[in-house]
Amino acid sequence: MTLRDWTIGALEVFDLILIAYFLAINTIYLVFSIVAYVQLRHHRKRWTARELGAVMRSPATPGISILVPAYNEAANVAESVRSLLFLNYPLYEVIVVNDGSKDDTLDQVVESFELVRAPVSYTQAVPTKPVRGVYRSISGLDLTVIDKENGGKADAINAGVNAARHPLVCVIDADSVLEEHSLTRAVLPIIENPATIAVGGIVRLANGCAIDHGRVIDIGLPKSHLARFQVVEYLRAFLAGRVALSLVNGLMIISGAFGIFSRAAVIEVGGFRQDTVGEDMEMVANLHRLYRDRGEKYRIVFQPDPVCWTEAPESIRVLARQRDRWQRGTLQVLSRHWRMFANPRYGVIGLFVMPYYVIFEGIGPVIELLGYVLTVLAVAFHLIGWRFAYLLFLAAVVYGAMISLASVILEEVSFRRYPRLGDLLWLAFYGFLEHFGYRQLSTWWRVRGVFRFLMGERGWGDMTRKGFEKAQT
Amino acid sequence: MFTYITDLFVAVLVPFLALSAIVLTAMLVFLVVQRGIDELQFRRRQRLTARYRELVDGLLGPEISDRCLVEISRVPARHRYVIETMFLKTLALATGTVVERLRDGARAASLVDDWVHQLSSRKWWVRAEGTRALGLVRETRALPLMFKVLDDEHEEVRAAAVEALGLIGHPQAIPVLLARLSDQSRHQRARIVEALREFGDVATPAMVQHARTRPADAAMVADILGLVGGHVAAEELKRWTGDPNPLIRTAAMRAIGTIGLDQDSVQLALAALADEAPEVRAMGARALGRARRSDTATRLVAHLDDEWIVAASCADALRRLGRPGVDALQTRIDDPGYAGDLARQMLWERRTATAGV
Repeated sequence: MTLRDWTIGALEVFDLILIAYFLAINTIYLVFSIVAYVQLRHHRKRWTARELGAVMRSPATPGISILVPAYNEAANVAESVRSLLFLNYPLYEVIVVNDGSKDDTLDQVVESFELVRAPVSYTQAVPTKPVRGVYRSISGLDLTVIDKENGGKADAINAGVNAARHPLVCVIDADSVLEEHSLTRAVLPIIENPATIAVGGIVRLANGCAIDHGRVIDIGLPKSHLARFQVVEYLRAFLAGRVALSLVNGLMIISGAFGIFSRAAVIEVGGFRQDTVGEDMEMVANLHRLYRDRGEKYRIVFQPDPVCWTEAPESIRVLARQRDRWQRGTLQVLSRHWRMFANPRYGVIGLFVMPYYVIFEGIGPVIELLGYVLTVLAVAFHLIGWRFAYLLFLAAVVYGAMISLASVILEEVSFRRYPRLGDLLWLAFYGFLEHFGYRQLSTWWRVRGVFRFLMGERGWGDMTRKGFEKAQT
Repeated sequence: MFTYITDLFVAVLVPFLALSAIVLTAMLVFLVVQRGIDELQFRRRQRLTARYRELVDGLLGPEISDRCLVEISRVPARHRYVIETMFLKTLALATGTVVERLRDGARAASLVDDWVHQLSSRKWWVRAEGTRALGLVRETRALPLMFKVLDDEHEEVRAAAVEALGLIGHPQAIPVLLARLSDQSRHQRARIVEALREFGDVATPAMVQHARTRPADAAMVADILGLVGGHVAAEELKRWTGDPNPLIRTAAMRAIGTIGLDQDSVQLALAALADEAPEVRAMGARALGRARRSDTATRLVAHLDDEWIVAASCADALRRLGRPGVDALQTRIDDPGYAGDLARQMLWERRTATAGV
């Protein structure tokens, strides 16, 4: 056999593996979508407005401390905090943690809500960077602002955890807006089953929505193509992926943009880790590990209807950095919790979720990109036939587009949050289009994340905010 | 080998993807058509709402005219749902004569008959809607049916029945609701409490009687009596502060604190500070703080070294007492432990509150 024969043989084997990879990931998502469809229908019947009323009235409803870590969030912080102060929940406080912002985040929030510096100190259940000052409202608002030295998002959350007065802590991003009933809906699984230690809500993109006084008053699609692709991505990830994984207690991530945790459990695992850019995923992995090591019953749940609206990047540069960071965060968590991989002791997490994350989320982008490049080159140099390229196109692009379309349909049959017929059609269009370029671009950003992870880079990078679109009044 | 595998893949994948594409496209088309139909229905509803608005407004005017009732009774059955929606939206916020007028209108349009009929529907959501509507129009003639619905197999319907009975507010419903106070669902119990609150003082004798016959519910009844806030209940609650069961004593003292203290109750609250159960002591402190009894500051400050729940309640009570409370707290600010922490915290809270005024 010549070298050319060997090369062709190797390429064919690799392409077959690649095709199997795409078939596997898309089939998993197809199964997720079907499971999610059944679950979402059940969910809609199970949790009615009546339950929300009961939560509002029940004296047993647990108090929640909402933690808002803020770093250079001057553009959005006042709007976000205002929305938080008008939530419909019987017992909660808002704790904004200014993590040594370089802009006027602290001034914005202090001036907007008439806060005064207060002589308060908290026990450091979780060690953090020094606190420079605590500000509290004198107008009866249950709002506290902690001003501390910069220590990263996790450190800011930990400072909030230390100051929290309630048994549950809700972590949200400062650039996010919670819907009025989000806390009530999110807390339902905890009331239903006290073994629930964490609940994640759905994150939707606020780009294109009109926001007035911290409330989303008109839901619409973003104008930016890039943000529209992200809308479809978010629908697929949350409505299909997380709903299905939550069913088997296999949720590996609760978005840092909106998640509720038992404060005691967070303290038990030592708080949010500061040496990672994926502190939300790290926290969930730690919780799984702790409770499964102890053999204690616990649940980590995703609720699909408490909504958190957040701003998505609309420039390629910022989006690339975000995806790069997410990829590095995923790899950090997977490398730290390698012990759970394929380990039956960790149940579904060890036997399904970790392998899934390692194969499809960890090294997946590298396999994908390598596959695209090698296939194009191999076809161009007549090393493999068009048949492989055709199959790859079907398995990766066409099958993927079907899954994205299914996610859009899932949204339409479950929550139908986009009221205009045009929005539905645009979403379907972008769902189909996503796999013709955007997906490959995203793969490239993630591959860069893999390499930067291997090079030992751990930084966050900047995320420029443009602020929410104001309602026309 | 590779050719065989790729052929196999193509043979399976192509039909599968083609079928998926057909199914998804069909679903999408269906959803688009559904949206279109929804849009048409919405416009029709808007048109009909505009058409019947004057008729419904006529019922809400200063004088109800028989003409309105006659015209409402002539509304075609297929349009009744529009009138129903308008009625129910208004009823959700209405009180007094407006409710009576809309009830007359609902009877004239045969809506009450429809709602009663809905109570025996096979679909639970229809039963729930019917129950809710009968509650909103305060239809007392439907009471016996409502009592039956209280035991419906679906929680949503039972919940609607409890709320409806609270809205109707007929005394006959009180013992029926009380009998279900020990419902397994915590949410349902909360709704029953809410419904009983709607009755106000009228429900007090029945509740006291219920607690006597079912001592296990006494603590819960005491809590409700506190929420209802009736002085009628105060005498009974005072008796319960001497109950051997600490849960009942706690609930009774909490209720007394909520209703407000008379001279007898002050003595009881002071006595509660010496109770063996910390929860009772805490409730005693709470009652004294809420009553702003500044002459009790010395007694309260002595409990800052008590168990935390008692100490915190005493500190909070002292904060409410004005100058005597501040003076008492000042004496403890240098204390180690949570007595000092609480004193400092309360003084700070008070200062910032004053600064804000």
